[in-house]
Amino acid sequence: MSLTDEETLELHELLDGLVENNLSPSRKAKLEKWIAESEEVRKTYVYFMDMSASLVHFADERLSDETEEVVANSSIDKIVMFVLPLTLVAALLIAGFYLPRAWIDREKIESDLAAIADPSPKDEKETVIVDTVAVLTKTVGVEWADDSSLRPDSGNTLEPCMLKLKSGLAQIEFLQGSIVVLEGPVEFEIINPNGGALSIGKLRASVPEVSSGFAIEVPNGKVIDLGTEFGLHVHEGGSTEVFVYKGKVLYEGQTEDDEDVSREISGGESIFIDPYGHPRWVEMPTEPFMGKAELAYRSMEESQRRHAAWVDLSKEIAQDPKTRLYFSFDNHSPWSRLLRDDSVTKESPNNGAVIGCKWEEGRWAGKGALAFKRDNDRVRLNLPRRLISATLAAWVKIDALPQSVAPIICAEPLSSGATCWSIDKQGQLSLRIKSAKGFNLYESAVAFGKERVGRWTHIATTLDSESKMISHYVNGRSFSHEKMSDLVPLNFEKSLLGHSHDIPDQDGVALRGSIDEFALFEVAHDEDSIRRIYEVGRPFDPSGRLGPSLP
Amino acid sequence: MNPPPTDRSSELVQLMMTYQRRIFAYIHTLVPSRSDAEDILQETSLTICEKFKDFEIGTNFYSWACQIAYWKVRAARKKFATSKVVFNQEVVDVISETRGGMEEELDHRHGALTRCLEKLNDRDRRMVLTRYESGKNVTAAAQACGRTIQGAYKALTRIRKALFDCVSFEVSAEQVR
Repeated sequence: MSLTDEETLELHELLDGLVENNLSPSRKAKLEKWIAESEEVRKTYVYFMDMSASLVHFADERLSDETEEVVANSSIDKIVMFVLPLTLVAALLIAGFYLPRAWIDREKIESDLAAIADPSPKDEKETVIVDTVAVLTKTVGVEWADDSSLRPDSGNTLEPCMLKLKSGLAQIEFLQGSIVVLEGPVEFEIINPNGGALSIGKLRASVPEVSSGFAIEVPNGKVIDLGTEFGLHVHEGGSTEVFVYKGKVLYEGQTEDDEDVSREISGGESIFIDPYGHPRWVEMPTEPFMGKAELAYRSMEESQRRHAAWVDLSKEIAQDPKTRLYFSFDNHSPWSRLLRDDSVTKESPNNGAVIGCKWEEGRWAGKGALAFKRDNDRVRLNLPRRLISATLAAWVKIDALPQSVAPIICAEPLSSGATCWSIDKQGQLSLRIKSAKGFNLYESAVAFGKERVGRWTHIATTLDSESKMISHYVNGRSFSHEKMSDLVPLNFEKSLLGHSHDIPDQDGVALRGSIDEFALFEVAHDEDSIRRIYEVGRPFDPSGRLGPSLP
Repeated sequence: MNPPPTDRSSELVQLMMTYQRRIFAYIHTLVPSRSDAEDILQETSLTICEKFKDFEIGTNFYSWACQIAYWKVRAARKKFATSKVVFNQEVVDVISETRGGMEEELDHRHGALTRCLEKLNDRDRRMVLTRYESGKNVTAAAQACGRTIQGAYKALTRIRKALFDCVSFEVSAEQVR
């Protein structure tokens, strides 16, 4: 129904208030509700806001036209806006802590660069909670020591605690501003917001002036920072090396004879303290300590390497003649209602119709996934050809353990071979196949517990018609092999992704979670192949190693 | 395999120069506050630079860029929670979906707006364009045109409505030609 003249005028008043940022909460709520309910209002809103964006464009153009000088600067600015980030982005990401917010603002970019050179953890100070003394801000390839009781994830706040790394790098930001990068194997105790104790291993500390007084205890004394960057290495047996990169530190300790010793160490200088507490000057070491920039760079490099490897594998799967169906979920518009079948070897793709589901971010930034949140969310498919042997593989993230079943793909049980692949309420991966005699159910060992909720998990099930075996895999590991009781080709004609009409004693069951990759192969892949799909597709998450060990 | 990013920087610049207005318009439709929308555009452009090696030339750059922008908007919602002009996520989604089917029409409307701006008298044109200059507000527009602030608000409401109607008329006239 069209808007009346009065409604049109009222809508324009609301839109004017919106762009001038002077809408009252009640008027904003009215506009929001109106936009949600009326397509005509929504379209008018889009026209209006697009016009507003065009006016911004024309205003900038007019400004540029007013003087030749401004024209030149404007052109440069436009290039600066996107090229400067291109060249800066590496530096920004290497620094890892900061992205500029301003648009075409050179002064801001320059000050941003200064901020990169001298990062200040003000934000963390503002969000401090009682007892928190530091934050674990970055990890690369961290493996915690077997006897480490604390295994925090990147981003976790830390109270006074002992951190034991078997390997990898961990960056800790103390609430008074100091940044410490631990390099495993290392044992480091966080004592207070401005200090800790290194019992073994290496660290590098960056201490801004505001945090001066930052102190780290070592076996025979302590190293007190006077505003600097320094590295520490405590060896087995208790000897310690102190390397100062810039600024000054003070070493204070005692020898085995209770003699007090102290040394002021300046940039470029280094001391070695033997296990008995006697310090002596040594040459600057050639072995570098990890700094925060290098840590961030490694993190970025590892993430990009993993994503690039997955893109290659994704192409390989798409081009494999044995791939019957492949949804990479990548490169879809947020409003897309069509799930593209990426397999390229068939005459016509089996695209899916997205019903209800919303697009969200998948395993990597920029990668798509479909979220199944409501009862009617589903993707409708039609796969007429039956499969004698098959592999089903998917990356899924469940929001909660299912109360009955979490369906991944289920066909309507109209004919023999109709198959439903799901996770049941016990956390077992399950394949249910209709046969002439009824339904055959093949379940894995329990694979899903609370620890997998909210985490991307790779699941796969194979049907090998030669060996008549059905095998289930979770994160590349075998969770069961079972002999088929009745060899029936799988049938996914009229099937649904993320939904099932076909669960006994249920009206219809919906997945509560997300899927960001799904593949159906006409062949039973072996464990090595499944493992490879998992390993290559595994998102970069060093803290993911903290999960429970699998059988 | 895609060449390394440095070899593709000219392609990236070309694409961004072509599409930056439309990408900003997409973001601005989801985030009515101009300064917030500009922040998100900046973040989006950085991610585009970073991810450009994964973009396949020949596919739809605008759609790809909007996908990145959409996730930036989602990620920024908490930050904008105190803004007066933030919509809930469901409304943002439905707006995004609606806009997805209007892109061609919006391009026509952008072209029509050029002609409609020319039809304004000098004072009105100066007022509305001053208002939309970077860093300017209604007060600046009022000063530039010798109006009171209250008068400027009223005038801007009138001018925007006139432009909106003019653009709608121009586009419908194009369709019957």
